[in-house]
Amino acid sequence: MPTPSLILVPARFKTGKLYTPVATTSGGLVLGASGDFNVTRATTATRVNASGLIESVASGIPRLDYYTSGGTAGCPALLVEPSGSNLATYSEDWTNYWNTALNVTWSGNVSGTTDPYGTNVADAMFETSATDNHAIFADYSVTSGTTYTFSFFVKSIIARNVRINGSTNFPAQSTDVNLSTLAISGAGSGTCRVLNFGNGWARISQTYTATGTGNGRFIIYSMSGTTQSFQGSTNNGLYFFGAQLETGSVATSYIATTTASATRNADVITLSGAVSGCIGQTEGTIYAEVDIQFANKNADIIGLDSGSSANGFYLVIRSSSVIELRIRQNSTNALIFQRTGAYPVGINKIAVSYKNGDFAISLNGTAAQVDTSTITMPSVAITRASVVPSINFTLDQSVKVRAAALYTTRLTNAELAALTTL
Amino acid sequence: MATFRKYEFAVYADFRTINDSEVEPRTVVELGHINPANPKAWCVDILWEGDEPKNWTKYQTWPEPVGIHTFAGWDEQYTEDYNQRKSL
Repeated sequence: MPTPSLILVPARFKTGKLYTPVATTSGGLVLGASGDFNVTRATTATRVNASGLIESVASGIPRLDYYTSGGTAGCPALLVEPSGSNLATYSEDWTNYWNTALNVTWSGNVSGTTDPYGTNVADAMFETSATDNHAIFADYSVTSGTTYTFSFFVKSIIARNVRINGSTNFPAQSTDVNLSTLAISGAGSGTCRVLNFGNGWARISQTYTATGTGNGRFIIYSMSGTTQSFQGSTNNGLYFFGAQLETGSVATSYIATTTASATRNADVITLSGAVSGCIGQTEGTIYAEVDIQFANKNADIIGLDSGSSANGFYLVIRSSSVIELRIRQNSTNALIFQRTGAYPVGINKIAVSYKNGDFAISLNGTAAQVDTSTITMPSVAITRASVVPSINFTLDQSVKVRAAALYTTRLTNAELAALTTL
Repeated sequence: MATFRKYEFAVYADFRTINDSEVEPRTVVELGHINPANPKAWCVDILWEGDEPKNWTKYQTWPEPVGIHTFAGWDEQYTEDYNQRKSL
């Protein structure tokens, strides 16, 4: 197996930089600092740290995110997201914003559990003993036809489940989440997602398209099993933390708010200049290990280009659940080669190779699929490498890159299969 | 060092004109018609990657910190600038 010319493993960083352990040009020149990726994000942002807790990361610091679907911290991945705004004010003060309530009482900043920060800013909603619904409401300003995703962290206080309901200006659909199994059911389940954050915490996100303009209402019920109306117990209820309302169809990383909505800027991770020697100009291979969250969204994963989208090589995941090698030449798509067969949601190892008349894609150790098209290849120097750039497709999800590498040769099909074996 | 500023334009078209010709890197969040006293006004928050270009200064508006929107991590800077301006 040839040696990669550039390796990206999210491990070492400083403000504005993500270090590359290997950056060697095809001529054998070892790049020093000029081989490190530049990181730009002008705002703070959050990540899941090595202890499995949410923490704020200063502007310009790449986010090494340790979240795993099992609710425990795992290997770090480079978290790359588009800009996003949390329209839900008082995101950590449910007693303030969600004080329209039915047969419940609030207790703020409780010590009965640690929150996803590992502190005590979660709020507890306890049922009254009434035989009725036990629910809370909140209204947010929405625009008809716009898609919104509402997300929040929730934890059961003694054997309770949760129901989310859209109301005024949102579809009146119910989604139930069993907080023991994290199973989802109900009419709104198709646009609901649950992430296990450990210690009993789940992050639930529900997507609705507003049906009118004005206040859009969310209702959250404490559920006894699957029963909405029941005699409550003053010892039972739900812990809440981290309300977030975003436009779009996914919940991105948590953005804390107080009196105002807040915007997190996009992560921009790119390297240009001397890296051109690490990029195969006429043939090469792009490898990436990616934790793919959604099977129905487009994203450029790795881009090698001339500094714009005019000329370049791109490893892309498509909303049709396929992997794509896209080659741009003189501002046109010279090649769009898509691998037959869907990629699974979760961790994938992907490699694409390019050499005129001999293109290949390999996924998770399967035999490489080959395209023998003869095309007009980029005729200008490819001088920039980018991680999850919004070039061919505007990023509309969170992408986690666990590793990436470049080779200046078209690896053999056997090497591609070996490289991508899980 | 980034700079967080808030702007109010008499009408939306005024914002479009200056924004479309601006080349300095920035993040723009359009808040829209949020001023009840001036319902035609178009309000915008911008996080400049560097200093604010001088030709934008005349459109600045300074609501009490931090108004209805902020950029994550920039409340403190806005509040300091607000207080400094207030003391002049």
